[in-house]
Amino acid sequence: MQQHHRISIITLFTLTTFAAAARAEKEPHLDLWITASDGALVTGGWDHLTGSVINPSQRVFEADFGIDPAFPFSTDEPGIGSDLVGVTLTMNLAPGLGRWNGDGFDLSSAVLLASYGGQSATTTAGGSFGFLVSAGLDLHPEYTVSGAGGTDPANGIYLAAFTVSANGLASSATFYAVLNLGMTELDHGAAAAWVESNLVPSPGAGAVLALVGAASRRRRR
Amino acid sequence: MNLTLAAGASIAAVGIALHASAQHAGDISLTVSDGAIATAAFDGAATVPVRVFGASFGDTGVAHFTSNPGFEALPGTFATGSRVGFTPRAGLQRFTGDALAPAGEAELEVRFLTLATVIGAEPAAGFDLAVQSNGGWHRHFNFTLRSTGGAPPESGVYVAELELYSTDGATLPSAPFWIVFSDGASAAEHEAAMAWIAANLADGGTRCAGDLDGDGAVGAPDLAATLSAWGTPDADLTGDGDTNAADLAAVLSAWGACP
Repeated sequence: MQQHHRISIITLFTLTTFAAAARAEKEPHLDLWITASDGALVTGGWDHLTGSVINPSQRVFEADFGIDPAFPFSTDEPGIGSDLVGVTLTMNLAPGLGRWNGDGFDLSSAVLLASYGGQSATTTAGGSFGFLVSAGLDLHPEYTVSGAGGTDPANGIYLAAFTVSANGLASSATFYAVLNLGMTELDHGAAAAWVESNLVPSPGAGAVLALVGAASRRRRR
Repeated sequence: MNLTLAAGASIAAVGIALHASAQHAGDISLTVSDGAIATAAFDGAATVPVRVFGASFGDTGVAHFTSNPGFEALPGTFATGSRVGFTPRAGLQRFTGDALAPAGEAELEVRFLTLATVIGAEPAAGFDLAVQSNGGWHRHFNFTLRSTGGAPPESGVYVAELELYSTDGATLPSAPFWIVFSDGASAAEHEAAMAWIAANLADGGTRCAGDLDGDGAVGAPDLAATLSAWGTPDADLTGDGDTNAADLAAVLSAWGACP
């Protein structure tokens, strides 16, 4: 058992180190690709410029707030592509927004608003927005983080959990947006690697609220 | 000095229903050519100069709304730290079958997060967005068609005439280009509108910098227009938001027939 823990720690450390090194400078992150496989929706990592699905099973997506100084707390990344032409997809945002503490995520009092085409969802209560997939889809919902009571949010790396659903198809596994507000790319990469190692392997986990609780319990032990 | 803004003799109309490929088809491809922004489209094999682009409200299931076409400039196209934006050149227009006419009560909101402008009967000021850290510029504005009367806008084909500018101080604005929006119109009507604009407006692709009246040459009327617009953005050729000595120099440098 001890050996197992040691391997896990080494694996996590290695993943984090590699990810952090690769993120020493800002670089474009992959967009969200949505397709269907065996009757279920599946997410992947998509390079919209080349039209290539780079990682067919990706579930952790990174983006940066404030790339445009006119919108310090907003971003329209990650974008969304899909080959499910004619299908209406619903993006479901889970309640709860996590904030990176260096070795896990705490529940944040900040709120993430996700919107598209006059529809919106927040991490306060969760919610969803939908869209029809047309040929060559390249959709960019807007994401804005705000502090408690509408104040400016604190710098940090924020974690939101989503699923995507559609009539006639099983919903996707939970996927995650790891959103950087004013922190280094090293920290961003480390947070994303943590999500990859700790949350992605847990199919069915649906809400950041629950996930953060689980992470905190692990840390206390 | 060659200040030609013409996108080239090859003017083609393209719709947005193209599939993803080497460069994302459906987006308005942007390059800098002869010192000016140029619009183009990926036709499935290559990027070709284009100044007429199609879009359809409701294409993602939201009535009177679309976030297409997007804009795509490859990394390295623009100076990092600069911004690229759009300027409406005319009020919103509607295709009547053989001409463009004012769109009446219909107006077009162009929004990106908290920035927005409304193109109604008159052209409005546009806005700009930051170039990415790699010099690329990939943006999708949110276009919403609405009516000042409160009722849903009439179905039809609506046309926005725009130009793009850079704030880097060195890159000249694009030639005019048109986004032709269908809002419940038939495909045939949409295609007819795009073809009409390509033939009657964009086909004047010979318009060059300084040719403010679009007569194919830079001459006294353009000089007069520049002087009368002095201190306003109305005859701004350099993209600095003002008509000034730099624009006068551009007009004088381009004097004569457009190349």
